Amino acid sequence: MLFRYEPIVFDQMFSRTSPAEWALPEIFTQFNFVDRPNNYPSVNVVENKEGVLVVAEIPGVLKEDVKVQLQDGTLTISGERKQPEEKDSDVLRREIRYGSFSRTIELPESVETEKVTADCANGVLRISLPKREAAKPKEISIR
Amino acid sequence: MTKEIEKAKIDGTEKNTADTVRVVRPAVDIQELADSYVVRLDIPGAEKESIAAHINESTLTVSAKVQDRFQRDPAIGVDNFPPAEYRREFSLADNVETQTVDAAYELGVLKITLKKKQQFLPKEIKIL
Repeated sequence: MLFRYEPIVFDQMFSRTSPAEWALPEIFTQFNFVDRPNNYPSVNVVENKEGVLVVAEIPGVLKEDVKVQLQDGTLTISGERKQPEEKDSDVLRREIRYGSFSRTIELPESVETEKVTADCANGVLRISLPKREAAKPKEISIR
Repeated sequence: MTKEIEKAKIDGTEKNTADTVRVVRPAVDIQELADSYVVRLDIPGAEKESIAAHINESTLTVSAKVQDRFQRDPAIGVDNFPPAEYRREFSLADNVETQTVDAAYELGVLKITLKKKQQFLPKEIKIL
């Protein structure tokens, strides 16, 4: 029998170095993080009736070193932060994390995969996932 | 022997009249080279014009405003995303040249290069 390992639904999405440590009303129940407990890089997920917006903080990562993949209803952000070369130097303080990273988020059925866009500026990766028209809430007027 | 000591402002919540600004302490990497110190701060999504790095006496203060990454939904009526600010302070040692500071912001990382004062640079003395 196959069973998926699902870490805590409200797992720590925000690290202490992220300004995005805000309570987001819509996120409860929707998003399952299917990878093992992993909070790096910091990711914020917001959903409203128009779509889903995913914001990841990836400072120091070049565009060619990060990949955004959509597969089977999940979104995976993966890549590598390369360490800058500095010859003949002593490290006085090291807080920054280098190396490869990967985060996977499960998406709701209503996302229209054809219309997903992503842009990255100043170390912030924003992925916009609009919902299919049919899936958006509609108000039915009572005659 | 010079050591870089860091002063940290842990509790940085300031109450303004309008919003409460949330202060975030960015991660930093500091390296010492023969002639300078290189400080790298992770400040992704900072508003470029608001990035400020100044040296006052022997303290280097770096601050920047964080961009609003989410569209604030007026329908909800509540500001779910209070404005945030990056801020960190460092105590500089005596051997740092405070007049010329080089800073560059790229890929969300602020790189500050602090040169060491002339008299502290390694010198080789020729033997006659």
